[in-house]
Amino acid sequence: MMLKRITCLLILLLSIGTFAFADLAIRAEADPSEPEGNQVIISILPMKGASNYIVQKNTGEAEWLPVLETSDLEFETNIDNDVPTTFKVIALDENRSVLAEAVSKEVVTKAKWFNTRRTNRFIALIIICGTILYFISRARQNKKIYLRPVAGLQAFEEAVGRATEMGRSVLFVPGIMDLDQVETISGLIILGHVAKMTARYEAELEVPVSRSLVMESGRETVQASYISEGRPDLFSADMVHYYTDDQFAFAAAVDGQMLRKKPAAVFLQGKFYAESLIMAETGNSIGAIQIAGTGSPSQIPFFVTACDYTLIGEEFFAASAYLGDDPKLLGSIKGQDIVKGILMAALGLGVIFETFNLHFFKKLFVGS
Amino acid sequence: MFWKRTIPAIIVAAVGVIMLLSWFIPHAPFGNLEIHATQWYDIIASFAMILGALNLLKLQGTKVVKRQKGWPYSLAAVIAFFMTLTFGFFIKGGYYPNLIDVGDNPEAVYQKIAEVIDEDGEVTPFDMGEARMLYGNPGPSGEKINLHKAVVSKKTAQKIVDELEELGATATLGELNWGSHVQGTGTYYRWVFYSFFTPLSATMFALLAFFVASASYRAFKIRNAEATVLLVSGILIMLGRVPLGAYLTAWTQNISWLSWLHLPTIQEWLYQYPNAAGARAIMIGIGLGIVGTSLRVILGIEKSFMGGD
Amino acid sequence: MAKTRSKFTERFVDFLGKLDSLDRRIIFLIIGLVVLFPLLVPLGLPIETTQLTEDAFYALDDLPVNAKVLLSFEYGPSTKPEIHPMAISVLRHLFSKGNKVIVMCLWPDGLFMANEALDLVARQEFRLEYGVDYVNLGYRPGNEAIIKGITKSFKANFSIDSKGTPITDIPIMHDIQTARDVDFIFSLSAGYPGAIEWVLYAGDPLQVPVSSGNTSIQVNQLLPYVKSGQMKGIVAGMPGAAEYETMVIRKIEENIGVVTDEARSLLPNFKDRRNATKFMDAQSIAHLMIVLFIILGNISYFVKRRKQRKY
Repeated sequence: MMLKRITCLLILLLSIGTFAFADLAIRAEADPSEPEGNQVIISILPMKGASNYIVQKNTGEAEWLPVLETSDLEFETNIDNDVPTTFKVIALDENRSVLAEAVSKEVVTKAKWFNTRRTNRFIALIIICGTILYFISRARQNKKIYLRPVAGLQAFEEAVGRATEMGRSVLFVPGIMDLDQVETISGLIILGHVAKMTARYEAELEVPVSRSLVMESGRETVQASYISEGRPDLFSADMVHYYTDDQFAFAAAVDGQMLRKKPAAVFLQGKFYAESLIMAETGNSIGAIQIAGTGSPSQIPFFVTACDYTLIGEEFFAASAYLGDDPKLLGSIKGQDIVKGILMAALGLGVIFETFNLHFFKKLFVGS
Repeated sequence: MFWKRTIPAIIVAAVGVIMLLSWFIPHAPFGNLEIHATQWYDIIASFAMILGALNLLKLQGTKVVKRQKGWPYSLAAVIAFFMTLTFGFFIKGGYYPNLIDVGDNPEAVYQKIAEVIDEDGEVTPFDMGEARMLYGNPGPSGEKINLHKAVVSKKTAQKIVDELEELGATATLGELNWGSHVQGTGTYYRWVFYSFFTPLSATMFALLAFFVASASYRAFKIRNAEATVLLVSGILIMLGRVPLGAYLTAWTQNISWLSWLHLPTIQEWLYQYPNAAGARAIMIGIGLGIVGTSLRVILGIEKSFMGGD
Repeated sequence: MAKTRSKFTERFVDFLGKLDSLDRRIIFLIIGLVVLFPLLVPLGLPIETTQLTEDAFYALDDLPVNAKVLLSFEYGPSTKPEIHPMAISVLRHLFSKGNKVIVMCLWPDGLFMANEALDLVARQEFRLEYGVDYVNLGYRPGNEAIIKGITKSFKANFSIDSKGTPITDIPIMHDIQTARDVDFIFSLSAGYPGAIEWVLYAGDPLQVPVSSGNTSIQVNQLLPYVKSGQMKGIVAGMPGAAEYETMVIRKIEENIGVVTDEARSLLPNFKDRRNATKFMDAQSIAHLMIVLFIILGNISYFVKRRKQRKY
């Protein structure tokens, strides 16, 4: 019995001693749950008397680079992928004297080949693209596709005709953003169709733009349209001209052009921000017929108020299909509509499940 | 045709698919592709700006030379263009005195510095405190301590240096670096920004207030049921959003069954429920439209924006 | 017996009918005058706070002392009247409770706005030390690429600050490696890139709380993010800025939460310099005027329609 007690006491003293005189240690492990790699979990075995720890890293250079100073014993930090990195911890006491140093083993992080956190979005992408592609291929087989009439799109020809009759120009503004925005590309596609109409009716076309790349792309589009209508003689590169990148300076320039030249038809098709109402109201004040279309939800109310016709949301993106009447384009619109139906069904199911406190369905749509 | 149509279409398709997949593939080389591609685009767009600038000068210059209708506006545009270009790249201003040592008469030196940094024409204890704080301790190896406020002309800055030297301080003439002169005080560029660009931009934005009034007057008519709903909700939000609405309906807060009539409460409910629902629906539609258009562009179905059919 | 109208009534009805096509310049003139009046004769309408602004305020107020907030300036001179007052209020709020602020700009104009705001609040009012209490990292082109970049490495995207000092020499940045290391992201934005990009590329993936101060018109687009919890409230337009100013002053006056001595001594200054609150009187009257115009327009519309039906 006595021996047992002495043994226990010795073990206890040894543990305390080990704890009291434990060596400082640092462990660095690549975070396995991070698909992009980069992330390392640092764990510090604490040292008695240490109040703060300075952590540094080394990637094989002579110099140790600072990471941070902390009192936390576990934290995450980032390193470059595929670069062996070593970490050093320096324990400091309250007077900032160095108590001890320790170095970790080398750690290497690697990015994965698939970001599993985005699986739900990958599946959604497959469903959406697959549906749209399916209906494009069906349309190719000459299946007739019905699209509901959109007043704004039917008014395009009327507007250009009006400008021709009045002997005044057509003004087309493809938004104020650059080619990296899909709305700008949609605007340019619509410009191509409008240019065909102006070539056919011999109406003057002016296209002020806010970005140089849009100017170049717009010129190509308009030129191709005029050539396809057999009127290359009517095309001039100065039809598409640049004013300025600045939002309100561009609005001022377009307004000035509207007030001086008084176009009979104004098309505002693209990405707009706050300057939308300034342009639309000025167009209204000169008595022009205005057709607007944008993918900016906050500007739609202004266009609806000030313009004669407005293409709202999807109608703007579907315009090229309507105007071009290509079966493949019509098929893609049908595909979009089917996807919308799927989303509406999902929304309905989500509302029902949430109402009954069943949250599993919502979790399918959570991303990171 | 091959170089103008087919090659661009192949590039669009290849880059489109790679960029789409790179969002799901963190491994190199896909992982940072999105960031690099955006930066490449910014560089290309920046250089492309030269094309736009030349086009602007050509069109506006032609109007001036040929004295076409509205040529004074074109002249103003051309002058503004060259003025900003000059102040951005050739003449910057931004001179300042470098104070190395305050000398034996520090209070007089601080008074002089306070006069320079003062902005409202009256040297206050705050300005004196600033001067002492900024220049009380020149660096041990005599490193230069800059005035936070530079002046435009070299002559004025040199005059300040001379005056500081007369008071017993040691000072030299400094100049803001190219690049930091864009935001630095006392530069011509900053003067153009605050004297021209800022008031003009603010004025154009302010026009919206007037245009909203005239557009509302013209458009908000009770033509049918939907227009009536639009009208009523518009009025409720316009009044509920400003202190006047809260002030006019403050009395409803004292009667529990009428508290819902408090305009800000109605306005917030309209904002957060019907309005947010409608906005979400439109955003979903726009999102789908963007996906559809992007797919058509990537697959080469839509080529007209490149000059194709 | 046919109802007869006096000549005056007849003329008045005619006049109402003609109002339907009122020259817009008269509308502009009236709006100009009614906006000018409260600026000259302040009405002093009390500011009532709303849920959206309160959520944003308390999200920042709950941050611990010494928390680091990333403040991004994405607006220019055109939207300065709406957003600049909230930038100043947010800075006053954060500095009055001892928080540290890291400023960056995704718009080139934002750099000027940031310098102005920091000069007023950090330098003149609070007399804070640059590099220790706050830093201005400056503007970088690249829009959302910069946001994505700082989720991986701040140093790679901001190797120097706006004054040219290497980021490794700036004390406040010593333990900030990525956007994950900040405690809050607040975007002062007037468009693109702005709050949405911060939520999509930084806030949501890194689970760093995000809030924003925006123009009134952007609230529509941002509300879905607030409702889903991806954003902690919004300071919406000038009304939001006025509400935020009121909440900051109330906090200091009533000593709610952490309030530093400097903030208490600056309270009279804050009360004098409430720019957004001053302008709310003018906005109130302007809104009222627009409502009256709408009502007048409808009266005129009905009178005209009735006349047309008669004939």
